[in-house]
Amino acid sequence: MILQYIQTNQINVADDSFRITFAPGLEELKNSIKNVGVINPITLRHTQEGTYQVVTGFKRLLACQELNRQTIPALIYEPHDLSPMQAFLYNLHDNVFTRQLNIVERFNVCTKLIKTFAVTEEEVVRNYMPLMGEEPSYKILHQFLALQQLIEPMKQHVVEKGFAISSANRIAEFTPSTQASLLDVLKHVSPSTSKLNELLTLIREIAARDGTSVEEILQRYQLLTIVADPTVAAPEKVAALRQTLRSVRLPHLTERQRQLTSLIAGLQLPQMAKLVADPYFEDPKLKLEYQFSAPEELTALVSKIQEAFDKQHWHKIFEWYRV
Amino acid sequence: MKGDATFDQVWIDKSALMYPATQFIMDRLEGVAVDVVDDVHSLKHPADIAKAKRQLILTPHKGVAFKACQGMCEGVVCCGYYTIDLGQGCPCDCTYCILQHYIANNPMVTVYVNIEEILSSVRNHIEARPEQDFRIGTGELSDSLAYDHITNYSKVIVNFFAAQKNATFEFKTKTANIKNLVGLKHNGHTVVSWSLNPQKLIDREEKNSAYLVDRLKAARTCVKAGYRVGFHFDPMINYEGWEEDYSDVVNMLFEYIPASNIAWISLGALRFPPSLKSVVQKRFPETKIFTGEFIPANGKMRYFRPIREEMYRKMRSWINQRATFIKPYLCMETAAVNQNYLQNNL
Repeated sequence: MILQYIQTNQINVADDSFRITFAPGLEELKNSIKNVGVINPITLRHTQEGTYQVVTGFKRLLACQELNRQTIPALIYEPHDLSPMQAFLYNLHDNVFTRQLNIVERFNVCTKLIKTFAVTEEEVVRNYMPLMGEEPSYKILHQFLALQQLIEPMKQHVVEKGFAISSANRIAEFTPSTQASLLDVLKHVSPSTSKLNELLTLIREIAARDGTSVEEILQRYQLLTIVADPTVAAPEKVAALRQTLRSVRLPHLTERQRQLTSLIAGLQLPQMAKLVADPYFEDPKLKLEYQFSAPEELTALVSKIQEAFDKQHWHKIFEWYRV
Repeated sequence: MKGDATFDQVWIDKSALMYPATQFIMDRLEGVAVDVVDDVHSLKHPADIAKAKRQLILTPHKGVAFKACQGMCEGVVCCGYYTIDLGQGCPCDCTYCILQHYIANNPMVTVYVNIEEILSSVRNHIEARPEQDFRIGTGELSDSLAYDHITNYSKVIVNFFAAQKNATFEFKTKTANIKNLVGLKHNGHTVVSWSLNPQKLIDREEKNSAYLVDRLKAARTCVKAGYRVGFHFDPMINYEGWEEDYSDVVNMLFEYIPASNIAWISLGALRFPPSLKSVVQKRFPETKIFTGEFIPANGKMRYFRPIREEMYRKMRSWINQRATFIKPYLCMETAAVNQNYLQNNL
């Protein structure tokens, strides 16, 4: 192993045999290199063909290239000094002990170990999942391996938005063209993991039920129009998406909820009073909640309740609820 | 039966060797690979359920094999059923099968070989309660008759219950495996029941089970052999056109079976624990059973109440058009729906 300054154009960046890094943010690193240069040399493996493979330091190399630096300090191994598997492990350890790998990088690690270096799934689960801070679980390994089906722009989005593996897995189940259409919608919103998973499930189930494509669903219910409105805040967009999809997926339930809301409004209860029903209409009991701090406020409630009784509004609710 | 195609491998727990049922079953599985192990609990079950279904474990049941039906839980009405575990696992591969979730960690088929001990504990229980009428079945963790050609258990069971004064036993099946039942002296204490669904659903969602017509023909054979028969429209699945398909099944049922020979009919709309869905979607990606309008209720996903109430109301009316005296009961429904149903409020 020797330390040298290597011409950056001599390094074969396209050879990503040992690469784990995905979607690196280079701006801060570039600023640092501009100020003080490359502090830690990268590691290269000299191939028998005379090229250089990057072992560690992809980000430093990419930053130097973007800064038009002609050379970079590098520790160079000859092929007989460093096997491909050793080189991969150097890079893996260099990364996992300095930062948290994103989910696509974890996918890269699992895939390369199994497909390139013929490591068994058992060994990956036992030795490498804990190294990445994961439970030693086959289920989790298979969740990472399933990300193979993600299209590149979706991988980028998943990492940028910090999607959970459960959401990424749901997306990976869609075809590449569906993922591209979904991406058009998803880039306008930032739902929580549970909301995102719910949205994806709703879309998938509507398509399955109606025997149509997801693209058709996105178009038919104008989901892109809902999320693309620049005047609406992101959380409201998610709420509108969810409401639209739920009303399509659960038409009877949402219609009944709408009817109940309208019937409750007919009671004209005081503002601080709330009539609560089981959202799924399984439990026949209704609950009336009221906050008050003076006897007059209580009298107001009683009077409104009585008024509604006189107008048969309560009977209407009970009769309707029973059906 | 030589070289039975049902299994590739049999695992025998060492403690099962002393039971006559073990030898009896092995005689019918000639040519199948056999291993005797110290403890079957240490066996590693294949994760692939289809592969697991082709491996059989023979072991004595070491826990409580006779118990109240698991449907008896808070907020859900059960018909007061009792179950006997004589095995678990099933050759049928129904999309909606709860066993995929319930025995996910040990999906190999198990037959408990200490049937005499198990039935003895049943006898002790029911004889100690002479004032109670028991309805007992074995179709909880397995199909009651699917392996009967290998075990011959039906003969032992029918014979046992023929002598019990306060118990009726029910075989619950989706097969036409009734050969052993014909000619047995049952004293009217055994009912043979079939789970029914339209043939369209059987083709799509009940892999490896018998055709509807074969189930009904088997039921007719049992009627001729003097048995009362039962039918379970469970799980009923809601889809566009379900009314026509299910009313056709009801009509077909009464064309094959005289109403007076029907002991009971139950109705139950599809319900499932939320965690079953992902298991099923992985195994049967083409299934459409989850596309209905489901909501959470009593720990399970169920069709939205008005949908299932409509299903029950219509089914009852179709059944009553053919036999007014039959009162179909609901299986594992919520108390509110059951109450409405019983009060004819649906």
